[in-house]
Amino acid sequence: MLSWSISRVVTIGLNTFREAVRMKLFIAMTILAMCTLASSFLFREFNFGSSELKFIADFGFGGMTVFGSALAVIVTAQLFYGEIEHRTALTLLAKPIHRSEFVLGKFFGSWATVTCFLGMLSVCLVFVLWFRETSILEEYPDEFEGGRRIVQYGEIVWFSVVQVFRIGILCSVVILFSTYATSSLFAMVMGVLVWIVGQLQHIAIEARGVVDNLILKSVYAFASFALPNFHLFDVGEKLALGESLPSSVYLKLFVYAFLYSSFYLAVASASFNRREL
Amino acid sequence: MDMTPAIAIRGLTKDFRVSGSSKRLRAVDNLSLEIHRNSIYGLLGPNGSGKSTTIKIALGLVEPSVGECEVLGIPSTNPAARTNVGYLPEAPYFQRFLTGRELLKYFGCLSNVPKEKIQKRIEYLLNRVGLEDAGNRRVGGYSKGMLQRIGLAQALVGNPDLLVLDEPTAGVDPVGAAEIASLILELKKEGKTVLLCSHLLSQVESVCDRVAIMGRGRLLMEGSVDTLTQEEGCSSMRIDQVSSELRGSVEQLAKKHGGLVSSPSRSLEELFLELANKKDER
Amino acid sequence: MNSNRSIIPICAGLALLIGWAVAPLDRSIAERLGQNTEVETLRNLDSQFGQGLSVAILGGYRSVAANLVWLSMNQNWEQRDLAGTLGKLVFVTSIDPRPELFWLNGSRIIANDMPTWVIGIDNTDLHIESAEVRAISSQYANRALGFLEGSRVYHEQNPLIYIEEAMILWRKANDLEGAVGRFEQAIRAESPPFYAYRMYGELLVKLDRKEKALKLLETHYETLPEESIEAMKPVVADRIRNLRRELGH
Repeated sequence: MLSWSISRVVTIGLNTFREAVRMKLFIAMTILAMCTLASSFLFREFNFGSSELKFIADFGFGGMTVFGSALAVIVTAQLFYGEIEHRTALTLLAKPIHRSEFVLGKFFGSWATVTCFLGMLSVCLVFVLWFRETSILEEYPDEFEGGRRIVQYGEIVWFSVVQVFRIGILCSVVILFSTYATSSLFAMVMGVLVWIVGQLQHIAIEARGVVDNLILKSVYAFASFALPNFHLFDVGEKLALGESLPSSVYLKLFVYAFLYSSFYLAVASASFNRREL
Repeated sequence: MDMTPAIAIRGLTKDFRVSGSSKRLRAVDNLSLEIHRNSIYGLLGPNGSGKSTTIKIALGLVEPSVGECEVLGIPSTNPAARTNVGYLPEAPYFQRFLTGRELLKYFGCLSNVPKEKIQKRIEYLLNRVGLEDAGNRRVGGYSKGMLQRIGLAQALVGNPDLLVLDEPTAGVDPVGAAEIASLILELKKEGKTVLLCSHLLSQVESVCDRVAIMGRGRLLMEGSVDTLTQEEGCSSMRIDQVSSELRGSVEQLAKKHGGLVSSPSRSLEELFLELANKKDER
Repeated sequence: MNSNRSIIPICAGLALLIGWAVAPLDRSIAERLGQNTEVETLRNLDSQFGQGLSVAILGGYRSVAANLVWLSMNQNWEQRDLAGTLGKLVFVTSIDPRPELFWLNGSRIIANDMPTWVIGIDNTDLHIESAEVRAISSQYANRALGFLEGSRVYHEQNPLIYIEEAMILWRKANDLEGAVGRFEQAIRAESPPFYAYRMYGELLVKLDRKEKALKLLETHYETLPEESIEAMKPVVADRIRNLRRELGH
């Protein structure tokens, strides 16, 4: 029996990562996201003083969430289904590897790609905020109590970490659909669907208690239980308002993301094991 | 030497579900064959004859519906069966973003080549397939022939006992094809087993020890090339240093005993077409 | 599709199971992040601006959407477009009612700027004696107070909102008693700024409640930190000395 090997998972993961960063799409998305962030400099026109910093933070957080999620869906579908579509999986899976190693390797590669993207964006955000804060500090010293900086840079790092958790779930969902799909478009569409429904999931939770119609109630119940609640990861709204969160919240979010991702990856491995190439 | 066959297929049947209907399509029908170690085995057949499905089953890419397939003594559904197998797919598609060296390193790692030996192995293989100068170029920019060569190198990277080569000379010029043929013969000398799928029947004929001809998922004929190319009631012999006198005497002797002298044997190509025509008539 | 369709119901069942298992975790995180009150906000928003809007502003871009509306409101403000500015102020705070900046700056625009647009001069304070000007000023002061009323859901205990209301009541609506009530609420709220006490003190002096003002400042003085510039400890000490002198203590 061939033993399961983490080193093969790492090899596939690293190669997937290499493929992703050499993709034109990744470079294009990174440039686009950075342009979005840079456009927050337009706020300068309005002379807001220190509140401009909150606007920039909001903008950066929004960019990370939206572009990060979009990239997760597109890149994962391309990287996983692409191997089947371009028949490169045939050569790969003819090597002594378990299909679950392939699934996990692809997951970690895609996840690392989007994590890298989020990392770059958060470094940019920190830079933009630091730059603006320094000039606003000189322009409007009265708005800074005791001349102290008001942006909590540590919270930006925490926000990025939480987004990495969110992306983990999303990547694993797209992998699951890719193992079943007959086109990468199907995997992408399903990924986007889960993303949107997961984002609105808290409404389904409440709606479940409000509606009387049994069918609607079941639909809401299914949506609220079967899909992850991505809205939980929108901690930026709190952090941008200058609040910090206790580490227990981050821990819970990690456990939440870990459980969902593991579940989707386990199902994906089972599904891919049965797939004929 | 291990006497278990390199590949043993017994009563193998594979049905595919036709999408959108409950019908099933039979790709392989009750196939049984054995490929012995240290031999070159040719698998022939027209498109849709079940060759590719048979290979995919042997490589664990597809599961059989009925029957069994063992590779080097291990059931093909077990990933361990592929530990000592190298595979060159038909019209190989590789990760276009990798360079030749990166590709070999990637597959080397997955074939469990020890890290300290991998670099040496890559250089040896690039040299062996004649791509030492193209090793740092991206595979996306390779010609068809170069892709076949790098494909061969990746199949060999783990130094496997069994090689499965699907159309290894497709898109390669005649000189390149001859080089690949001699490489296959060298591999046999090194003690390896080669399963060869090819449309170039003259090539199969020149390198293979045994061949199997498939049609509509079934095994139509199997045996050594010599036996298969021998026509019924005909015999050919090779006599070196034939003078015209000797030739005349042999012909006279044959006539005397009611024999007919003609060209030595039919080619494998003739046999293949004959079988294909028979199949069509049916 | 994959040949084996039986996997779908199994997956759906397992998904429900995991959803059920993590539900307590989900609830506890949502509660800590205050997301359990958001559905209410969104429902209000939908009833005001129609279905579909909440979908657009969900996700990571909710704050960004509010910020963009705020930016475009600035253009209306520059053009002294009364209806446009007011409409967008309400819109911004409906999309994202959490930043106090929207409430504070919004109410200042309504109470301070809008009356001048109506009257057509830049300094209403100079004409405060005119009955007409006073009526307009008071009308917009009430509008600003009504606007701030909407902040209660998220800012029930925010001292800055109370101070803002107190200032509007005092300076614009001329309702000094009302302002006293708001200052009382402000200093009872969680960590009020130092200036709340100083301003409240001044209002009490204006109302000739000097004893009460002195007591307030004396109590406040005890709590002031030495090193903080914002605390203005010497200024408060001066004011206490003056009040004591005036009251003959």
